[in-house]
Amino acid sequence: MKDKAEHTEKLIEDGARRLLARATQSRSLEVSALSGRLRLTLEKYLLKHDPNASTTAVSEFLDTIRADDVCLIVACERGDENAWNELVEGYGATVRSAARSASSNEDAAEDLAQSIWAELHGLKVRADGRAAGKLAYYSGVGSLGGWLRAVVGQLAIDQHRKQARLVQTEEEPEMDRLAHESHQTDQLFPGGPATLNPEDSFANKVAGADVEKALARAIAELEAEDRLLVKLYYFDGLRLREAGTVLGVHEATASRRLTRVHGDLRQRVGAILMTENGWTKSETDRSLAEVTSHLEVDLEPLVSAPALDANSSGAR
Amino acid sequence: MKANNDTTMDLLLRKHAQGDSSVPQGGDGRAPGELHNHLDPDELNAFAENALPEAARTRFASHLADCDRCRKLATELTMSAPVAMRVQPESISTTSFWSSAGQVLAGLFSLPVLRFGVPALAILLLAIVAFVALRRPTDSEFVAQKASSGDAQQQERPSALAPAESSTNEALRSTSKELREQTPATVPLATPPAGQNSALKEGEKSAFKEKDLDRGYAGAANTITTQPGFAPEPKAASEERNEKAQNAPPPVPAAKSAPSEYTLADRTRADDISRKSIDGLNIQKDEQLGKRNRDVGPAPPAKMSGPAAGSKEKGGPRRSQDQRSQEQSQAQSEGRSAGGATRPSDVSSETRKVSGRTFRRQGNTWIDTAFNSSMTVTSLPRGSEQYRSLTAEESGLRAIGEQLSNVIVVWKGKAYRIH
Repeated sequence: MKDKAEHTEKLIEDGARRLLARATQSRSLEVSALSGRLRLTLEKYLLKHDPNASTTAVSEFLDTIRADDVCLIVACERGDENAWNELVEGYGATVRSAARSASSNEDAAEDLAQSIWAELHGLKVRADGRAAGKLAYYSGVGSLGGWLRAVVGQLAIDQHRKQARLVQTEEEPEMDRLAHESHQTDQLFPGGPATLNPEDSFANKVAGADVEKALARAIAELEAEDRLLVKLYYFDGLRLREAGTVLGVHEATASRRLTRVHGDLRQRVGAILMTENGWTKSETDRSLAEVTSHLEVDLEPLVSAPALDANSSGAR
Repeated sequence: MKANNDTTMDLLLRKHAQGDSSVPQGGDGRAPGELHNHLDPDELNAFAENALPEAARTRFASHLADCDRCRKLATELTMSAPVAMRVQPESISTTSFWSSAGQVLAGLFSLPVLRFGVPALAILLLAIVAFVALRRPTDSEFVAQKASSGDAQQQERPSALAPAESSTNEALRSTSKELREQTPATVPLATPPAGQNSALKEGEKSAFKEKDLDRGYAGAANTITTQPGFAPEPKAASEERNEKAQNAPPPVPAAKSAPSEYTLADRTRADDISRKSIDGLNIQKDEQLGKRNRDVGPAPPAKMSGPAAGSKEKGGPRRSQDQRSQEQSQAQSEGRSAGGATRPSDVSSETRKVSGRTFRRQGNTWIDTAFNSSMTVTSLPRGSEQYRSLTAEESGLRAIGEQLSNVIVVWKGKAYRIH
């Protein structure tokens, strides 16, 4: 165990050396200045998920870290004024742009951008005398510009949440709860009661609720990336191309994956309904078909855009 | 079935998402679909830029699937990230050409693509066929081509038809052979061997000088092989023909009168031939020739015998009724030449001047004197869009079209047939 830790330390030091060698501006940094950050990064992104990662995997991961960005941030953290100026000059536009995207007006954007620099620099002082800013959390796995955008976005959400909490009234949650309950009663058979007798209508409502529960569970049981795809496409309303971009795959791959997910979900829903609700296969098929026929009427306006998109490119 | 599943699950998921989106936030401002331990900006950025190791990526994807807030942030970051960062480099490098080609092919032949692609392809194909069919020129546009091909046929005709006619007119043929020996004017029609040409031409000249036949039969013979049907003829010949036309016999009904374009073009050529044969036969008013004709029958070459017999009825050598009927039947059997030869317009040539252009009547067609058979004739039916647009711009052409019923006019270097 100790040997393994030593071996990892050795790999980290080697990685730090290579990183400094790769950097166009090492900013007079030493291996020791980078080792701690690299150790944290390695732990966070690799060893935490794969404790038995091979030497090659560790070295390769360390070599993917952005040398110039890490050196700049570490130099800033160590109080290098030139590095700080360089950071502000080089990424001021990025921060302003991200702030404008996250804010409703120019003033709010300016305030947000200014608060970002303060957050980055840190208003508090750590035990070692250095400022405890957000710069410490940059790992170098992603780009510095992207990280700054993420920081701005997260800060904007936090600020928005704080403001929303202040203006929220007592009645709203109750109203929301009632609205939610009202929605839950309007489940998978929206057009049914108008045409069916009360008994059939009730049976359909129960069946619809069962199908919806089974579907929710089937979605939860999907693989992480498949579940994310479903969420991005159906819940967030992204187009396949956009969902594919978030997943880091081509639109066609996302489309194929979605087609496969449909099949998986169909099987899972059927299995849940048969094993846990005691439905027969014919009942399951008939219920799903009925649900579909009802939904086709109910969701016609919704289906028009993204569904066609999915079906047309689904076969690619 | 697969497509059915797709539709079913697609609709179910949409409805499920629709219900989920209306779920309200909790009292602390956090939505139910939002976890407490959010991904930090570094993790979000690493995910958005596709820079994570596989294991970490799976864990973050799982979190993003359950956390609306982080997912929203990750989506925004991904969209704002440079394009190069979004694509997995390893996926590009490891994906072989064949596997990607196989995927593309599989996609091409999958059910949804076939379902929409095949009908679309069929419609496209039909559209192309219809387009090609509509673009194809109508038969009337081939008038000039047919005319020119008809000319070629006509040029070949003397030698080609001679054997066929000789089977029925052996007596006439032997007579014409004798005539050829004595009458140089008939030699060109008989297509003599090349070696005899010079001698024959000298003979021709002398014979024409003596008998004043230079504008007659010899000219006609030359024209048959060289001059196209629509080409204007010499003025002198025209005048002479007008004189002869007054003595022309009454018209004999045509054996065949199909009013097609082809017939018209051919008929006008046949008119020329018959007209010239009349000229040639008039030249044979020579007393000696007339005497021979009375003895052995008509003198002209086999090809010209039919029309000649009809036209020479008045004042010409009297022939037996059998011979005349034989020639008429021969002419009828050869529809085109017979039809042309028996038309009244053959001998009643007129000229008219409209919009500064001179037209000569051939058959029932008025032909611009500037027309040359080498020109391509564009058919211009009255009432057609092309006719309307052209006459709207050209008042002169309109006047021609209004005054002459069936006319071939040369307008701005192009030949039009208005009918």
